[in-house]
Amino acid sequence: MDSFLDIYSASLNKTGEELCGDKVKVIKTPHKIIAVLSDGLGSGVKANILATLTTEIIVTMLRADVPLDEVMRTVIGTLPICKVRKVAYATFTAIEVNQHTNAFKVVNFDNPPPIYLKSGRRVSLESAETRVMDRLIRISEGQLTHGDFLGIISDGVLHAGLGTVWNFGWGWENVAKHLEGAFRRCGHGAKPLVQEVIHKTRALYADAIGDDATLIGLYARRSQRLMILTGPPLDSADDMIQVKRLFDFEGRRVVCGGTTGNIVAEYLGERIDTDLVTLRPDVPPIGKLKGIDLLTEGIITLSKTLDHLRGCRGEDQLLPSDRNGATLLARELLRADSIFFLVGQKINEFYQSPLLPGNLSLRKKLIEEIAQVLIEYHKDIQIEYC
Amino acid sequence: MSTKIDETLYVCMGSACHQSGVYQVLPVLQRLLEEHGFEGHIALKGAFCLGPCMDGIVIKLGERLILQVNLHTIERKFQEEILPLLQQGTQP
Repeated sequence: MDSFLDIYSASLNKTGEELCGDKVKVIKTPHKIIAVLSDGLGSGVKANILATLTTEIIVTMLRADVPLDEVMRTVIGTLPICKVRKVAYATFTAIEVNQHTNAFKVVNFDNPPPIYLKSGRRVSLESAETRVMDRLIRISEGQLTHGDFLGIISDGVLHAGLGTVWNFGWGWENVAKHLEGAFRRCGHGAKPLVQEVIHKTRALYADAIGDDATLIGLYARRSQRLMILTGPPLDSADDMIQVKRLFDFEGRRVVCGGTTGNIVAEYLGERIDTDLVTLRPDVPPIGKLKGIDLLTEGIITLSKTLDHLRGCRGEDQLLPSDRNGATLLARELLRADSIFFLVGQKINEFYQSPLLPGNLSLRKKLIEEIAQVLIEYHKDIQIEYC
Repeated sequence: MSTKIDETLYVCMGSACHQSGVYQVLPVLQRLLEEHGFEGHIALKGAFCLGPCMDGIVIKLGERLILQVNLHTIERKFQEEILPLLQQGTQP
């Protein structure tokens, strides 16, 4: 997969509320990406429940390719009715992107229109109107190419600065203009653009946030690829074949494992230099080899990396600042879009020792757990055993 | 008197040896080398897996492997195995 859809979202809760009344859910299947933003009526717990129900229903049904009117019928039929306002109501925007063609479809029910930038310039997105169960739905379609940004906002962003900085709030036009500027200033990628807009929203509200505010950004770009070779192949006759695949790979290259590192060194006819400065009580030091972006010990480092990945919730700034094998590996993983694990299955007898902590013996299990966490962080993952 | 300084003592930093306490053994080895006047003559470096994981910690000097080094055996291993090898190769 040459193309990657970078997705990031951020929300502000209405001041005084512990829960956000906007709910975002993003899932990736092998064929499509589904992102949903729902804004529940009111704020706090009640809004959160409405929005959560709405996103869950939509994501689940779209994943199963259920037709739109049936999805709408289910959403409207399921939401509990507000005692105060006598309505059951949560607005939503749902985006579906085809993983193979990057064709997208935006279905919008009462949320502000999506903002679409091509190479940082705003382009208008035509929408067709249709009625489902007497509710007006707007549908837009298009195709994302590298450099495109598609932003979905809740109305809380538009209302920022209402009656103070802006008579009628920040407004859609200004938000779109701000995104254009942010594209020039803050670099490309979903995260910097979304964070910039959300910071500005907070500033306009002067910290008294009047409404839950959310932005989901989707940014299409060339995939940042990473390959990890870990573990010696079952059949040592395959050693050089697998190492050659690593060097043929276009992207960043990581090797995890002492024996694996030695195989790569043998292929290169080089000797591994260890960097003792990175030795920690719980993490062995990294090594250096030509053409390899990161070379670490295997099982202990991987196990520690899994802890770091879980702890940082997908944000590389939240990783410990210490520079050691595990933090460096976690950073490589978080900065990549698509990751290819080539996992050798030869067993080192030492790991069969009952004296070792259980998970140290299971490279395969460890890689699967790491992959699972990375999938939750929206990475494209491929695993091959050899 | 030879002042050969390209002799290198490799300490295995692989998974198994790391679990056997390399982090604690390394400073002891450093101290022993200093006490015997090898500082500046012998380089102490880490190595990726040196092979015999069941007999860690593994130390390599030239083509010789010194096995079963740990916090309890390091002083004895140094006196009985490492020191004679070093004294053959270089005179501090």
